[in-house]
Amino acid sequence: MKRFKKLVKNITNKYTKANNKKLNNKGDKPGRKLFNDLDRNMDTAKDKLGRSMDLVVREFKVGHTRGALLCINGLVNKSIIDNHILETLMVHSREVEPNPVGDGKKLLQFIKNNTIAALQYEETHLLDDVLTKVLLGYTALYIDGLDSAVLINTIGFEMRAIEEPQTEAVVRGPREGFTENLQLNISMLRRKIRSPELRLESKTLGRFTGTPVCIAYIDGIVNEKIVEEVRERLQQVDIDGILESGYIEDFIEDAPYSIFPTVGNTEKPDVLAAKLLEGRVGILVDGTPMVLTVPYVFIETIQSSEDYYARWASGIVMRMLRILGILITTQLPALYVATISYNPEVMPTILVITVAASREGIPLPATAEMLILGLIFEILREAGIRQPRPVGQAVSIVGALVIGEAAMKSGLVSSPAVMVTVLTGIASFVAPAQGNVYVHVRLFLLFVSAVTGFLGFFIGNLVLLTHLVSLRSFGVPYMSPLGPSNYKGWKDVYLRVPMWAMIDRPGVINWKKQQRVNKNVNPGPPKNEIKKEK
Amino acid sequence: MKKIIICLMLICFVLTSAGCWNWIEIENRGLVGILGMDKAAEKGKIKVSMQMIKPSEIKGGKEGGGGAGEAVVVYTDTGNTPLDALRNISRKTGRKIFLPEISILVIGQELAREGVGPIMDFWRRDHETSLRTQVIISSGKAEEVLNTKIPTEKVGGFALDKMLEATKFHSKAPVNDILEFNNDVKSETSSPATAALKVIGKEKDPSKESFSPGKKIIIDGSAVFKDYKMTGQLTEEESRGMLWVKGKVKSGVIIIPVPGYEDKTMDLEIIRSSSKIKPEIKNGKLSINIKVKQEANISSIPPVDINIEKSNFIDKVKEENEKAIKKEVLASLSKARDLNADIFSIGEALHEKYPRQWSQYEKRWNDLFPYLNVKVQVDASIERTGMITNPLMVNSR
Amino acid sequence: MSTPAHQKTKLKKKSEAVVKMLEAGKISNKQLVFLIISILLSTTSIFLPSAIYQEVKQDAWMVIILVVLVTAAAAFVLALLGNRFQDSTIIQYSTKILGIPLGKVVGLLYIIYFIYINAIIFREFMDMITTSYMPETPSLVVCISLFIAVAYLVRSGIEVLSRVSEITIPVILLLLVVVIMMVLPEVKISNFKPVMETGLLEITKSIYVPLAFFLEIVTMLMLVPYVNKPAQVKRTFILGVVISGLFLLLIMFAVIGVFGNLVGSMNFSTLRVIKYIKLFNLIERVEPVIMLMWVYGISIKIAVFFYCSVLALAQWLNLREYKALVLPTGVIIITLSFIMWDSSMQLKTHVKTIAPFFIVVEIAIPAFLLGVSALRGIKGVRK
Repeated sequence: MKRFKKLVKNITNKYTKANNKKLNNKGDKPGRKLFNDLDRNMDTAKDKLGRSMDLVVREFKVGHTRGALLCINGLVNKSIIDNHILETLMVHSREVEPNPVGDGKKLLQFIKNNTIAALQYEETHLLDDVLTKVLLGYTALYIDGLDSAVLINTIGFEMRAIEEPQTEAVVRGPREGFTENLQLNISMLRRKIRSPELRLESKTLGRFTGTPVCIAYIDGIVNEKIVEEVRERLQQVDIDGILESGYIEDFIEDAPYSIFPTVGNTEKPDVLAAKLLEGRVGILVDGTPMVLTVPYVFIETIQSSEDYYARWASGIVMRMLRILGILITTQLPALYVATISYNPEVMPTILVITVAASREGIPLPATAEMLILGLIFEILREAGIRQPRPVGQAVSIVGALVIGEAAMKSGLVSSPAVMVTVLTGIASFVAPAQGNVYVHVRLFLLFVSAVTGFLGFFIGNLVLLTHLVSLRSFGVPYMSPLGPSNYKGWKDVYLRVPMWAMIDRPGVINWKKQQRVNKNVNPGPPKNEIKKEK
Repeated sequence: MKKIIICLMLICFVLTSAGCWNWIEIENRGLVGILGMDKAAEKGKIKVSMQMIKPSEIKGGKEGGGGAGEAVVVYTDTGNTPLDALRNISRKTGRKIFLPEISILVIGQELAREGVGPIMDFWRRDHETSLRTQVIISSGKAEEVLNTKIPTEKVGGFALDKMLEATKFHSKAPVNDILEFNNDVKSETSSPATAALKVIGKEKDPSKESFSPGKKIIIDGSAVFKDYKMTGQLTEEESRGMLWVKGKVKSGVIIIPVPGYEDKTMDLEIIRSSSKIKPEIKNGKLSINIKVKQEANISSIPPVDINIEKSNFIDKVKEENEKAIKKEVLASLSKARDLNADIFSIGEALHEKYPRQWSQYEKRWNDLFPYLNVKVQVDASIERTGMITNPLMVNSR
Repeated sequence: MSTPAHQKTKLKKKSEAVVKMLEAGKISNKQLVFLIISILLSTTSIFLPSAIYQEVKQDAWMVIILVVLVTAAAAFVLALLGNRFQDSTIIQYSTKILGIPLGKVVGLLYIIYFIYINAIIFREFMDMITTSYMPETPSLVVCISLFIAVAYLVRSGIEVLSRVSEITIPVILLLLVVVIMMVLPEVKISNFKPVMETGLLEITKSIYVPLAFFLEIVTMLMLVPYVNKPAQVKRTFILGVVISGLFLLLIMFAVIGVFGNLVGSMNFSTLRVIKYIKLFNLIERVEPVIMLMWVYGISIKIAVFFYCSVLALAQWLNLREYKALVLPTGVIIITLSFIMWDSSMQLKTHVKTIAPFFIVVEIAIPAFLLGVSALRGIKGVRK
């Protein structure tokens, strides 16, 4: 085993070293400056970009001087270039000054000051800068005879509009969800938290994708140590490409081998804002609407944004349902097997008879029945998700018919087993954040209780609990505020007390005592009742 | 990593090797409604009979009816001990008998008179059995009870359960489970008494059409035990007398003559009752005071010319009521004296009140009990007269 | 197991910081209370009701009160000793107080005590499961499946252990209360009469077996250095003892109230009481509930003793790491639990005969250590 590990390490090391060298060779070029000859500049740029088909070079003249625009088709907003760069350069500049200044330097100054009608631009002498920016959607403006280029922000490409996210649907609450565009996502967050304390740090990750990543937190609420830890861990992400925040999640997890996630994610700006306000750190990644939040503790699974938007009483009901849902989806199959195969006396006599009657003549033992039905359910679920909606529905209906009706009628499976499976499956949707984790837990418990009954069931749960308790997410114990218990934090675990009673911010994440509401506010009728004037 | 793999393998090994030992699928368990124990023909052997439930006949689910066959089947077998006989039965049924769900244990009179010690010990010792199981004595053979069909329920056990439950409406038989039975046995002085059953009637004649079931099971007073041995039987009246003293009469009917019309009878419904046994030692002489308190409603009066609003009528009814209760109590007392069985737990009451003097009575209790000086005091009250006042006179004009 | 780089650096930092400490974890006083409850309640609740009933009949509940009072006093003495040496365990300061050779002997005595008790609990657990749930299953299987859970707990360290206890013990106590509420309709007050029949002398005489169980609180002297506020352990110890006593009293009340004179002849009266529950024909025979209490309570108790024995052994041998000792110690404990007693009855009588020795280890030696350290004026570092 060890030897094998070494081997793998060696290979990966070699590979990464080689890659690094390549990168470094490329990286030598930051020192390479632009030439002061337009044609040479254009040639090198085209070579560097591999004469790609979407590369656009537009040559033109400003007065008598030659110039050229370099951009990538599809990344830029053409109307900006047409109306605010090309037109001004070619037409309007003449109107103001028919004979533009001959000298290159002065010309550049003139262009910068008088003609580029774009908000953001910068000047550079380095080829690499030009390339990276152009690939982001900037347009490079070259002037013949100058060893510098002006990079103008013309980013504009087709993107999805803001839509209601599919994963975290709410009845009451904001409906907007993040999109794939980082800039837009950040703006949505800004619109939620209009405070100068909102900090957004930028980072670029991915050797080839160069994905912009943003760390968001609120200064004064967040624990500095956690931010530092996040920076440190992001620093170590070294991978070819980052296509989704999941890539980063894999790198910054605390317990990479655990089945339980230690990094949270959300698709909604309001949820992210709430988490930041509780002292968490958000990691926004370009190209995906899923935003990572750390630290992530277990109880976040049962917290939904709607708990807080609805009145506290119904919030409590939702919490309880979610806890019940998790318990059912993880424990019920195991409990069923332990009861049926080991200790049926737990059930009332008449129930024992009923279950025995429906199991009579079933060829499979209860455990196998549970396993197979569970498998079928998961297959149906997966099939339903991946298919277009009408097909998905058809799949579910056919599937439901197959297991619900045909299998039961033909005596392949018993009806209690179908009921248990369906209940288990449906309950897993009650708290969907960790949907696939439940499958592992369910299988584990099913296995242990299939072989030793209730003893295995309880011991399995104990092992599971020990594992959960031993986890940490960015220094925060995973099971807090249950263990280590923090009774103040319980206001937001099993219950959801009214907002004015949730005085402190979650203690486990902040470590500092901080109040989030004015604790002297107690809603109620006014003390001096307003009397009706007669 | 290596360690984790080893651990996982260890866990898998242990768990998979652990399976199988106690694993019995629910449909393979022998579900039993009632269990009966009799004396076998061979000497010293026990004959066990049981009503095995056929689940599919009860919930015939798929076909809808399921009433085609009988829901239970009775098996019998003999063995040297209860467990021996129970395991022997598996030779016929092919299933291990599932004991926890057994709610009723019927013991034949013959076996009960010989002693139920081994059965009780087995029932307390086994890990599957429940202390909730109710003990009933059959006046005849237990097997006969099990073989009698009760048409209202598919499973005889459930019907018997309901019969025992219904004793609270007439209070004519005590209901004791294994725990209470053994509590009385363990006590130095008390004697257990538990309900007795009887099978009456004849097998139904198939040629005649009739809705009446041929053979019936009926609750018939109670059986009295001395330690583990049954020594006698109480009639229904005596049984209720005992229950009065124990304060366990929940409901029932009392028949009394109508005051002023001694040839006619009226009845009262018992609402609640309580009792107290007060032992007293005075100058070294022991006397027992039994106080019974009862509340009743008038439930019917024959159409005679009376005015129940007159206070002395109610007083007279009350008097008659007390007399009737006292009669029942005294009847049970004299029977208990005959059998020399302290079915009322008078000894325990003495123990509670006089723990210091107890030791000198404890040993002699068998000699003392029949000659105890017992005073019975009944305090009855008539609470309500029902929905009407006076009976409607036919010839009142 | 390869860990991501950021964790490696963290681990390095951690290990550099605590080269000297075997255990870097910290537990709160609240968690200590739950640990005390787990070690005092989980085995006593199973064995004591019948054991005491055999001696003093219906006055058994008075014995519990008396035991709790005596244990509270003893816990006070133990807390004084723990308070005096807030940074070290009894294994460490016994050498400080008595000198190296004698102190090492005392330390060895405690190691043997921990292992011995652990073997007893393992055996008791196996007997319980095999008599009342799975008679056909070999004890070894039960034992190993429990051992897996316990070893995982111990290897995860005292912090995880105490957090698990903090989550499970309240659930167990709550279930206990619910279950006893359900059994309340069956309780007959006459089963408690006559009060004080056996007399005070008998009650006092029968105290020593339950006391040996309750004084297991001495184990906590191994955990004092890891407590947040060692200065408050007096309160913590006594609180733990009183709460466990109250719950034991509740169990006692239910058992005697329901079963009366039959308690003495029962092996697992608590289990029988819960089996006796019947509510609305719906909730019947809820024995898995008590299995839950057993598995969780006893696992944590075993884990505490197990942890203490490996920690004590590591300190006694001046090792840097205790985790390597978990497997060998576990093998010793399991082997002992199998070879020491032939039958469960033998175990019962054995526990009765050995109880006085336990009491010596549990209170006499710590009291002696406290006295000597006071006379010699030896003190540990105060926090």
